[in-house]
Amino acid sequence: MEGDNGKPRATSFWAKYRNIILVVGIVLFLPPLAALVQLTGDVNFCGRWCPRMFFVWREGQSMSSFLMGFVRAYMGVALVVGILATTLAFGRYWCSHICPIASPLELGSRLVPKRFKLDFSATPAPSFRYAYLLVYLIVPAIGIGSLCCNYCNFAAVPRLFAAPFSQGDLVYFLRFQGVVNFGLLLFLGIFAKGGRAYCNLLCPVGALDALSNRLGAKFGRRVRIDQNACTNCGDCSEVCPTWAIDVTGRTTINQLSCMPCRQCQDVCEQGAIYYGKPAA
Amino acid sequence: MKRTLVFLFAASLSVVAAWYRPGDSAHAMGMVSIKGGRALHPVHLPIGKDRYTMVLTGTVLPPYQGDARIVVEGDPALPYSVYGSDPIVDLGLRHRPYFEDQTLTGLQPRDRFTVWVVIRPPEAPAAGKYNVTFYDTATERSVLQIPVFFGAEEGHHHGG
Repeated sequence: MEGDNGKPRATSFWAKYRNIILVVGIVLFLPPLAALVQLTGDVNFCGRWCPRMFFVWREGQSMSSFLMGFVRAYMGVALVVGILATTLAFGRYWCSHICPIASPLELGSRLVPKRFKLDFSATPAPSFRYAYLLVYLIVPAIGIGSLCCNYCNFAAVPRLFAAPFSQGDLVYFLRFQGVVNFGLLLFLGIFAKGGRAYCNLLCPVGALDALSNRLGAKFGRRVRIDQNACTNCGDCSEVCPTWAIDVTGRTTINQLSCMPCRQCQDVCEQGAIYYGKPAA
Repeated sequence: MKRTLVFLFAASLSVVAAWYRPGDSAHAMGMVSIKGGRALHPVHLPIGKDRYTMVLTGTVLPPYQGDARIVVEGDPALPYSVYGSDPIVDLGLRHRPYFEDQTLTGLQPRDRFTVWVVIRPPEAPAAGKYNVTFYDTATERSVLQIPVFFGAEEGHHHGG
């Protein structure tokens, strides 16, 4: 497929089969199958697969207890380390293609008519996200509360999938915190334009991944703009689910929010958007 | 300026969200053992709610193995239900205990488990102590007892 100027549009495997990969991620990680999770004898992300809690220091915790958290959640540790390492080189493919927590929200949001969708693009996402991450890390350390389990997207989404089949998962939502989590998934996921506001604002794993994306932007493969070809039409900005593209003045991509979903590349008639290493 | 305001707003909102506890749910952790087990996270719940949800997570210490029935004990007795957290479609890839008739069945050393206990008191329970007790079905001995305190303080910070 080519744009108006003959430059190639997004046709790589990852771009072409993104929807299928999103569904595969759901099958591998979420009930009713959760095939990959069951390989370690688990049911969901709570426990060995927890990717959110091991790096949080709690008030009064000893160093050995903190380190034991890494051992207890060894699959979660491996997952996060793997995500951050691959992101440095290739960009946030976990977030854009594989994350089973984000996939249902994005796919679900596509079913919602446009007129019901909420547009969060006026919110400067990195400011919100890193304020949340800062509180996420500091508040347990000083002992005034926690955002870890109570507002966990990795706990809520698998249970949402399991709730129709299991009362144990249904009761998760029949309490204040469950209702809040359900509301957040609807409000910032299903009913958000692009389905990625939850990822963009409240996911601590996504926040760390975005940092890795920014750090590796100077040498790694990223979605980039050829300024010579760009006409500043704004089509890319319209479809960006993480509102990472700024078209005021010169069109730029904020690597603190971008993930290589390549939807921008797909709509760019000029072929001005490409995925690759920075130009020399 | 806008970025700074959003940062401050998000930080304030997050602190309030982290601090606020509605008190209708809590998380407890424990270790099942033949010596009676050990509760790592006892539960503190405020009085006045019509429904309490507790998620209990635990590990089985060697050499215990067997089946453990889960009971909420205290005076006066409170109506409760216990639910397991089994795979919806068990692919049978690894051993894991399963939950049936209020009982964790097939526990083996180093197994990890999660159960949900829902208490629906007909009226607000008076301040006092209850226990969620795991009884080995073969010997009827307690292999884990998790204290649940009503009224003493707000729900434990570590939610579920």
